[in-house]
Amino acid sequence: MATAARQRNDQTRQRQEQRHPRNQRQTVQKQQEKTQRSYDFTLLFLTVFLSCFGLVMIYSSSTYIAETTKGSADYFVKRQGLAIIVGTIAMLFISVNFDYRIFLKPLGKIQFHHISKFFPFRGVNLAGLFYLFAIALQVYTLFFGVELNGARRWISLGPLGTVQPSEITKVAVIIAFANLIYNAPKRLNRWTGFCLAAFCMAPVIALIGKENMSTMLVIAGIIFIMGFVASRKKMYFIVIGMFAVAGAVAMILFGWRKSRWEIWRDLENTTIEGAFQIKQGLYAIASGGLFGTGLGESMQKLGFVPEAYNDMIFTVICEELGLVGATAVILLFFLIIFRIFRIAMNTRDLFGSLICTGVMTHIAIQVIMNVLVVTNSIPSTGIPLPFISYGGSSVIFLLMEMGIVLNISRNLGHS
Amino acid sequence: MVQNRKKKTKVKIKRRFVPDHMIYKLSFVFLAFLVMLFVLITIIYNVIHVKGEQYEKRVLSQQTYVSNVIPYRRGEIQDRNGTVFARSEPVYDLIISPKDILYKEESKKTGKKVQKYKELTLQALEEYFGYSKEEIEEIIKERPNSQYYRLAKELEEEVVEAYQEARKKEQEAVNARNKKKKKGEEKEEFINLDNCIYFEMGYRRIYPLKKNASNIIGFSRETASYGLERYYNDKLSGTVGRNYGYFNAEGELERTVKPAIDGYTVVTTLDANVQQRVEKHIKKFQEGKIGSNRTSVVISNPQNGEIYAMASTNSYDLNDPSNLEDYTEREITWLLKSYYKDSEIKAMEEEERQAAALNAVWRNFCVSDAYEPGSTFKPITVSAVLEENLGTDKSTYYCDGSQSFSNWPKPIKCTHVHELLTMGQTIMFSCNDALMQMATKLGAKKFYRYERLFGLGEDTGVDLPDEASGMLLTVDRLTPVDLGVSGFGQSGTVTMMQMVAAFSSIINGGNYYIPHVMKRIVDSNGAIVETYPDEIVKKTVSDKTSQLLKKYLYQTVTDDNATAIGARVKGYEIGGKTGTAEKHPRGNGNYLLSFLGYVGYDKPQVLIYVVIDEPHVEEQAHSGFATEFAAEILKDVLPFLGIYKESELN
Repeated sequence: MATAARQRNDQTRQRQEQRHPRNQRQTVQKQQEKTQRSYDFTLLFLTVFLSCFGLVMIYSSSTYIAETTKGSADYFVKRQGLAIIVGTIAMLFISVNFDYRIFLKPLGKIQFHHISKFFPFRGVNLAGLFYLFAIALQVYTLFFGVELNGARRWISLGPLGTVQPSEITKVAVIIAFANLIYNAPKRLNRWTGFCLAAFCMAPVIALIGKENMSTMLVIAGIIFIMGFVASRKKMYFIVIGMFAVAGAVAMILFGWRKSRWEIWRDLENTTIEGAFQIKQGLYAIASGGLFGTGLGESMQKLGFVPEAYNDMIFTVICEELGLVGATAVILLFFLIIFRIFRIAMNTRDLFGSLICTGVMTHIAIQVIMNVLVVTNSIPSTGIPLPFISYGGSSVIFLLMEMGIVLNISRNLGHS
Repeated sequence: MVQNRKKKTKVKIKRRFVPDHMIYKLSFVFLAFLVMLFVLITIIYNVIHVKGEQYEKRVLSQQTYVSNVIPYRRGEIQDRNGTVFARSEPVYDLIISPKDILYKEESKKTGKKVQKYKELTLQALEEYFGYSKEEIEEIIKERPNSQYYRLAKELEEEVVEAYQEARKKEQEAVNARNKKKKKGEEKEEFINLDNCIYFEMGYRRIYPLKKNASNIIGFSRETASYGLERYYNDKLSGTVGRNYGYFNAEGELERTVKPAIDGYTVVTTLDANVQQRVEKHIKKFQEGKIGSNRTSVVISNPQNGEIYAMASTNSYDLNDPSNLEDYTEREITWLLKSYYKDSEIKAMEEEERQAAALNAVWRNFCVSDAYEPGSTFKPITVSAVLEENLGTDKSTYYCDGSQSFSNWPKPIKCTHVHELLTMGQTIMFSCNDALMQMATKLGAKKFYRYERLFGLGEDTGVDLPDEASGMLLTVDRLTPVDLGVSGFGQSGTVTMMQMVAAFSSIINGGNYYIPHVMKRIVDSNGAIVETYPDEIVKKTVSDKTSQLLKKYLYQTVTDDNATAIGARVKGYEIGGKTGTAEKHPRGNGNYLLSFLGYVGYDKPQVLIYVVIDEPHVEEQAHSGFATEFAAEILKDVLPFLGIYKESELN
C-alpha cells in the first residue's frame, strides 16, 4: 500500500514538475507577445535608413579622396559599410536577446553603503564595472594610444584597425549616470548629493577633456541634461550653466584655443590654417542652393573640403541635396529624437527613461553642434554627425545605444 | 523550501517609476532640442540665401585655377587611304584676370605701390589680339576682383603661338641685356604676364572636305547629330582628363593631373576621290539639261559590302550645317513634300519649316528613305524562280502586252508586246508581263520568303544611323494583283542599302554581306582597336543561279536591243538592270529611274546603284538617263578604284 501510495505521489510530483516548466514557458511566451507589440520598429527603420543614407553620402564625398590618397575609390565606403553591418547586428541582438536592467544587477554581496552611507554606489554592478572599464580605457589611451593628426584618441586593435575609446565612454557614461540616479533618485535634490554625483562623473570629463575637447563637451552635455531632467532643483543647473559660460569666456580671454576663436570671429580675412576647412565648407553649403547640385555632383568634395566624408559631411549633403535635402536630414534626426523621447516618456522604468534621455541628448547635441560648426556659428570643433559621418567606432556604439533604447521600447505603457 | 528557492533565483532590483517632475523636464528638454533643430534649418537657409551668391562665385572662381577639365581630342574620320573627313583642332580661349592686372606691388626704388602689370597687359592685348585699351579698361573696371574673365573664344593656335613666341623673345632679350650689364648695375626685371593673360585649350571640329560625304560623315552637336559622328560617337569620344588641386593636411596645394584620353579614329571604307567625283557628277547632272528632284548614287564592293561612295543631292557644308543658302525655295519645297503632307507644310510656322527643311537636308536618303524600286527588283524575282526550280535557263514566257487579274478591273500593261521570251530575255527586255507570270507562279508565300531572304523588309544593319526598313506586303496582304506587280518591283518599298546588299549577293555567288562604312577603328597611337568583320551573313542563291543572273545582267547591257545599253563603258565588262518605277499617286507621270549594275564579269569588283527621283523632263519614264549617268560616273571613277580598262591591261 505504502509503496503504491509513494508511487502515486512520485507520479503526481513528476507530472507537476513536467507541467511546471511548461507553465513557465507559456508565461514567458505571453510576455513576449505583449512586449513584441510595443517594439519600436519605426525607430529601428529610421536608424537603419539614416545609416544607409550616410553610407551613400560617404560614397559620394569620399571617392575622390579615396582614389587619390588610398588608391581605391571604395576604401571608406567598404569600411563604413562593415561597421554598419556589425553595429546593426549588435543593435538587433541587444534589443531582442537582452534585458537592459542587467546593468543594475548587483555582483557579489559587497554592500558599500554599509561601510559608509555617503558612498555613491550601493554595490558593484555591471553599470559601475562598465564605467570603470571606460575610465581604464581612457587612461590607457592617454599613455599608449595611437596618435593621429596630433591627438592621441585611438587604441590600436592590431589587424582590426583602431577604435576610439571615447565612443565607448559615451555609452558608459549614459548607463553609469542613469544607474547613479536610479539608485538614489532624491540625492540630486540635495546639495551634497549633487556634488557627490558630479564628483563621480568628473574623472571622465577630466580624462577626455585633455585630448578631445569636443567629446568632452558632448559628455558634459549628456551628464548636464540627464541631471537636469532627474533633479527637482533648477538652481543647481543654472549655476553650473553660468560657470560653463564663464569658463568659455575665460578660455577665450586667456587665449586657449585662440586660433579657433579667431577663425570664428573673422572667417573672411583670417589666414589661420584651420580657416580653410570652414570656409570651403561654407562655400559648399552656399553653392548647393535650394535643391543642390545633385547627388554625386559636389565640386567642393574634390579636395576643397578636407576629409569631406568626416565631420564636414553635412556640407556635402547641403551642396549636393540643397536646403531641401539638409532639411530632410535634420527632420530625420528630429524623428529619431522624437521616437526616443516617446519611449522615455512612456516607459514605466526610471532607469530606462534615464538611459533614453541620455541617448536622446547624445544624438541631439552631436547634430546641433555639428551643424553649428559647419555653418561657422560656433568656433570649430570636431564632432561627427551621428550615423552619417565616417567613423566605425562612432556608428557601432551609436547603434548599440539604439539597441538598448529599442530594448527599453519593448516594455512600454502601463499594465 | 519554496520560499528559499524564490530567494535564490529572483534578483531583487527595486522597480522605480518615472517621477512626474521628470516628465515635465524631459518635455522641456525635448522642446529645446526641437527649437534648436529649427534654428539649424534657418541658419542653413541664411548661409544659402544671404551669402549664397557671394560664396557660389568663390567656388566657381577657385575651380578655374585649381580644378579644371582637360578636354580630349575627338577621333578623326578618315577614308580608306587616310584622307581626313573630320578632325579636331586645338583652339584656345583667352582668359584675363582683372585682379592680377590691377595688382599693386611696392616698388623697390620709390617704396610706392605701383601697378606694374596693367600697362603691359593692355599693350599685349592690343598688339596680339586686337582689343583696344579702352575696351579692356572697361572690362577690368566692371570686375576688379575677378580672376577669370573669358575675353575671346576659340582662337586659332597661330594667334596664341605668336603671342607666346613674342613673350619668350622678350624674356630672352631681357636676360641678354642683364648679362651685358656690369656688376652692381641694377638689373632689368622681366614682367611675367602669365597670371594676367592665360589660355584654356579646347578643340574645334573641322571638316576639311566641307560638303563631301556630308550625309555619311554627319556632325555631332547638342541639338542634333547625324551620320558616322553619331553612329560611332562612343568610339570617337575620349575621356576628359582633370587637373586637380588638392589641399593636403598642411594646407598646401598639391596638383594631380589625370590626362585626357583621346578618342579613337574611325577609318572608313569610303574613297574620298571616288566620293568627290561622284558628287561632282551629281552636281553636273543636276545643273545640266536634265536635272532631277533628287539623285543618289551608291558605289560599293559586292565582294564584301564595303561602301566606296554614297552621295545624294541634299549635301551641306559640315562646317556650317545650319546654312541652307545653297538651296532654292523650289528644292526645299520638294524636299519637304517628300516627307510631309501638303496640309502639314501649310500648318508649319516659319521656324518649324526651317527645322523641318534642315532635317530633310541632313537626312541620308540612301539609308533612311524607302521607295518602290521598279524593275531593278526583277533579278530578285528571277533568282527566286530559278532557285525554286519553277523555271530554268531554257524556260520561255509569252508576253501579250498585258496581264489580267481577278478582282482587278484593268489588265496591267507591259511596256511593249514582247511575244516569246527566254528566261534571260525577260531581264534583258525588262518584261513586266513575264515577271508577273513568274511571281504568280511562285505564289505569295514563297515570294515573300525570298523577299525576306534577300534582306528586304528589315534593316540591313549598315553602320549609319536612322536606317529605314521599307514596307513589304506580308503574305496575307499579297493579293494576286499585288503579287504580280511586286514581281517587277512595285507596291513594296526598299532602301538603297537593301538593294545594294541583295544585288551584291546575287552577283557574287550568293553571299549576303552587310553593307558598311567602317573599315577599322584605331586608337590615337595608330593601334587597331577593332576591324569590321567581313563575314557572310547568309546564303541567298546558289552559285548556279548567280552565274545565270550575272549573264542575264551582262547581256542587258551588252545586247544592242536590250534596255541598259546606255551603261556601257568602253573597255569594261559591265552588267546591270534598269528600273523605271511609277511613283505614288499613280498616273501623275512622276517616275523614279534607277540603274543597278556591276563591273567585272568573272568576279564583280564594283557595284553601282543610281537613283534619279523625278527627272526634270516632260517624259520621265526613260531609264536611259540613269544608265548614261551611271556610265559617266563609272568611266571617271573606276581607275581610282584600281580597275583599269581591259584594253589597257592587255
